[in-house]
Amino acid sequence: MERKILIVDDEAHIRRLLERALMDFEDEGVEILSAENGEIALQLVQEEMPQLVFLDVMMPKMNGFDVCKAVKHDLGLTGVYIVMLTAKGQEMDKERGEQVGADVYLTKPFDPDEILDLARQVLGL
Amino acid sequence: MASSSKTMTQRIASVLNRIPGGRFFANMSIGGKLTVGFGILVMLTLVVVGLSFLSSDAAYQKIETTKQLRAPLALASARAQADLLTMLADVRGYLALGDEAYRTGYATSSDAFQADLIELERLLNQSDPGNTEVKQQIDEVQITFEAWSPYPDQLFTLRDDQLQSEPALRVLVQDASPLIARITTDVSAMIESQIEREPTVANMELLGTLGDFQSSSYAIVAGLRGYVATGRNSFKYEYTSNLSANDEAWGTLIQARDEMTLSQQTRLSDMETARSTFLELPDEIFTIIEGDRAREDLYLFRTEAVPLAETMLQRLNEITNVQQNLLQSDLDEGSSQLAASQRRNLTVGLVALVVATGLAFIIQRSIVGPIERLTAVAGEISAGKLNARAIIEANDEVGELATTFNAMTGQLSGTLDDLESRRREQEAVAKTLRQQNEYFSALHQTTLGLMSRLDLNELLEALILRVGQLLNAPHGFIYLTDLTKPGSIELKVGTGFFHKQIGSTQVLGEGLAGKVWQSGTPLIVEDYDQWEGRISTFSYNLIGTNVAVPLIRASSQFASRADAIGVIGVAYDSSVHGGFSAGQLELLTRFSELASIAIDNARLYTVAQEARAAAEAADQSKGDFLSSVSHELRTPLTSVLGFARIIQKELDTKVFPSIQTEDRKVKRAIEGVSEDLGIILMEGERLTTLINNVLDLAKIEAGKIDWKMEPVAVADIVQRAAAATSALFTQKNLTWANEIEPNIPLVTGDQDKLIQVVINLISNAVKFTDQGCITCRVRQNDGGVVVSVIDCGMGIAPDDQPKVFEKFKQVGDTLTGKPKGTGLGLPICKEIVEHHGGHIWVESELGKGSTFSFTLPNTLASPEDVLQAVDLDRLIERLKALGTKTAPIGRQQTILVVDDEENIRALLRKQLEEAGYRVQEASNGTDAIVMLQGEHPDLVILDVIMPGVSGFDVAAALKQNPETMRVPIIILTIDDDKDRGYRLGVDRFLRKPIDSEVLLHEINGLLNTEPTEKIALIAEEDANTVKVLSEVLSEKGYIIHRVVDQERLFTNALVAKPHLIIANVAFYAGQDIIHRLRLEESLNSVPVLLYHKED
Repeated sequence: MERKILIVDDEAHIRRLLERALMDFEDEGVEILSAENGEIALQLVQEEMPQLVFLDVMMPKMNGFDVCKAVKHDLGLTGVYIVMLTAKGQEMDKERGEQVGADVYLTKPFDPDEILDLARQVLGL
Repeated sequence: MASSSKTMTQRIASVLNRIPGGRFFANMSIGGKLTVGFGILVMLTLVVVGLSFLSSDAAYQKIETTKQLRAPLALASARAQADLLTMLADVRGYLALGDEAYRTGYATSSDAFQADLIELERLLNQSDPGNTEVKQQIDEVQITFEAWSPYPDQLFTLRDDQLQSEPALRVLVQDASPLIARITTDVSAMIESQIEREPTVANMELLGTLGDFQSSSYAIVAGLRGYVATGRNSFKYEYTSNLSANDEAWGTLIQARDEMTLSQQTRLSDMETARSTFLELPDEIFTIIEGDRAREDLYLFRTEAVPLAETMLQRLNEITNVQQNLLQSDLDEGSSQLAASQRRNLTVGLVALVVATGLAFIIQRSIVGPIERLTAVAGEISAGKLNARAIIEANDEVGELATTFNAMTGQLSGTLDDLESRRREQEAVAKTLRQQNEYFSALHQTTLGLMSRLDLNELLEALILRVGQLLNAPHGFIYLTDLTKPGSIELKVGTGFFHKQIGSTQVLGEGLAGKVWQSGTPLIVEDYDQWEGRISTFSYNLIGTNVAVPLIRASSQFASRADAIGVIGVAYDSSVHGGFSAGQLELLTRFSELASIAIDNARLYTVAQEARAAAEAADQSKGDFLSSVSHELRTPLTSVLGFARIIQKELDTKVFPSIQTEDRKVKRAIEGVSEDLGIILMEGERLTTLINNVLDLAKIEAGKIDWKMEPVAVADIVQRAAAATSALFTQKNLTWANEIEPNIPLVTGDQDKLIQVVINLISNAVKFTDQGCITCRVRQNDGGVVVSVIDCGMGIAPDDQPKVFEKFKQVGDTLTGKPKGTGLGLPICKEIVEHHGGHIWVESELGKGSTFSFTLPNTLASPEDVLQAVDLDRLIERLKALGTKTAPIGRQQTILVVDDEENIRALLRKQLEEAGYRVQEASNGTDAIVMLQGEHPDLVILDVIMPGVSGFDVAAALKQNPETMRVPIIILTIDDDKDRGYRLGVDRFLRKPIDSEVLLHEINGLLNTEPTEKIALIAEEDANTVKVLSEVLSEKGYIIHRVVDQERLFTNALVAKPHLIIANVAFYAGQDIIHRLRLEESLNSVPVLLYHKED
């Protein structure tokens, strides 16, 4: 099975940072996809069925919570592991993330090595 | 009554005076009167007693004679009679039966009789020697007895000689027996001779006849003997029947005389003689036996002895009778004398009674009467008739008393008049005082009610109403200055005529209000229409008296217009002119002073409210700002740090290894780049920490932190903090030591936050210590647990020590140049520790090291864990008070809304009242708890975050009290620590903003749910106590589980899943089980009620 990781953030730098952090995976045949807003992200999730999604919370058009909720609840996709990324270190968000079905919740700034480790675990690499 | 008794007493007094000596008696002293009276009584008593003694003595003498003489004589005579009769009986007995006992008995009774006779004689001689009649009778008895005395022995002898005593026997034996013997001998001889004769027919016939004669002769004799011996008629019959056969045989023998031999004929002749003699005897014997002298002794007894005895008996009887008669007559005489004596006594007694009554009357009249009359006069005086005077009836003590009494009454009358006039004066003063008091009380109430009013318009309305009530004025007004319009005052509120004028202004010095404002002194206008200063535009014929006073704060020592914030006044209808008293003016002035303070307060409050609203807005925007800043900073920071790490990694793993150069410049550049990247990373991390700390602190200060308060072990916290900071120690040459006292109690706290505090202290210690040891010490003191982190670093100067807990104050930063923190670590520690009810401080000596310590109170601070045991009886009472249902149907249900935000309370009130509920409000937790102690609402809606006591605390207090633990609780908040809420037994958790539909649905569900059966676990060893508790709880619909084994309480609770645990505090064995229950998810919301029993 082809492994895919979707990166969703409206900030190009953060997308690039995540792509860079996960760059080594491309040699291992993992496809890195990215989306700059929630709508595109949701569309890509349905089309590509990535195993892992790094999802920013604060985004225009459709925020991370809504994307997560749509994926986990509305679409009922169980094979999608969602890592929520937020700049707000507030516990309320953390809880909300859990409510909408996020699997892990990371607060910015994050360590690229952490991202890599996490992806390895999720993808079983 | 009083007058008639008075005339009566006067009459008696005059009568007494008229009696000879009466006047003298009346003038005697009370002692004398009593002596005379009692003397007469004693004499009367003596007379009565003497007479009664004499009468009874005569009767006594009679009775004594009877006792001494008559009775003994009669008795002795009777005894002699008895003995005589015994003698007779004994003689008769011996004669009849011949028993020797009777002869002995006779001897004894004879002696007794003789003794009786001697005693009789002696008695007579002793008591009544002159009584010849009795003496003669006794003598007669004695003579008779002498005549009698030979008889018994004679009779006894006679009885012993049968032939003497029985004449028939004597005839038979002495006269008949020889004849019978001759006959039988003759006939036997004749028979013998006949047998020897020739047996011819004639001879044989003769022999037969001889035989017949012989046998019949024997039969005759046998019958005769039997009759004599027994007297029985059968023997007599036997005799007579055989006699005829004998006669017949005899006749045949006589005829056959010729056939007989000669000897036989001789014999026959002899027989003939004997027989004829004999045949006369039976008739004699029959006569004797059938006559009265058949027994000679009895005959003699009957004819001689008995008549003598009867004579004696007769005499003795006479003596007895005479004595008895005499005795009876003596007794009769004695009792008649006694009766007479009684009659005499009665008569004399009655006379004495009459005399004594008379005396008592006289004494009463002369002693008691005057006292009574004096008392009556005293009564009249005490009833207010001060002109009453006592009558002086005599010159005794009572008379003196009456004189003194009259004098006293006179003085009293004077004093009372004096008092009356003083009383009137005092009443006037009291009336004034009372009026003032009423005013001040009214003022006080006004103050109480009004001072708390903070809305200015409401306050003014209330003030004008109140002043109208106080002064009974239909019209009132309050003018206030307006800063925007100097030089004029505006009518803010008005009643009556002034109501329409609200909003109008008055210029300084113009009209009543303007003048008062200008002068700063009160002004009374008694007739407003005629007053020259009136405002011409104001309608005529409306107002009479019009009064105004300035509103000046009483605190202003030098009151002047500048201090007057307005004018307050009242007015009366045109019909009222004048009559506004100084007291009323005083009241109005006082009122105005209080009113001005209240107005000031309200104005200040309004300003403060505005300021607060502004501050809150600023605070909110600060929070928003911080939140945004945090977000905006984190995003670039993420890139900076992230790329820096990637670069570092790439350089380290890929770039630098591929650069093989000997160029020093390139090498130095490589080293420089590595170090520079390290700095970028370090500072980036520092910036991240700073942002986190700023946010933390802001959240703590805004009260927006979720405190997960639970029982925690301090030792555990220290261990975890040590583990988290262990990496720091390895970087430096430092060692770590723990000094933890044993048996440190659990404290209530947020474990993560407390770990954060200790980590912070340890990292600070590491930061400022280059070598040596860092010690963490945990010990217990009175107030709680003390945690200290001790280092041996550079220390802090005394001046700097307090500053370390201030924000962004890093001590010594400029000098040492080694700042490594954010400057917010210790302030955050301080906030956290203080939130736990503890405090944090530092002790330090420059160059030697520092000790940072903080305390945690060991009383478990949260009410959910404070279990106070109550007395068993009280617990039972409280359990009994439990409602069986949440709310009775048909009653309006009450909901308590607890929220510190007024608009939320108002919103909820509106929604709930529309839905038909009654609403109570509390603006903070303390008020809510106080309100819950009174009437219990049917449901409570609680906000969590409130100043002071939080909503969770209120919920805990509610669920901990058996009386309120069934009241459903809805938590309504932005904060949503649901776990904690449910742990406390909160029923529903709703998030703000309020969705009224959901809220009402939940309320309806909670209020109309019938309580299902619940389980109560009782931990108690004593069966009786369990019984009592079970009864109460069963009534409330609980199913009872009982735990008798202390060890098993926890496991039983786990299995039974009770809704309530009730435990004896001794049984509950301290707090350990509480913690175990609290930590167990399924049990931590169960209310635990502890009780103790009084021993």
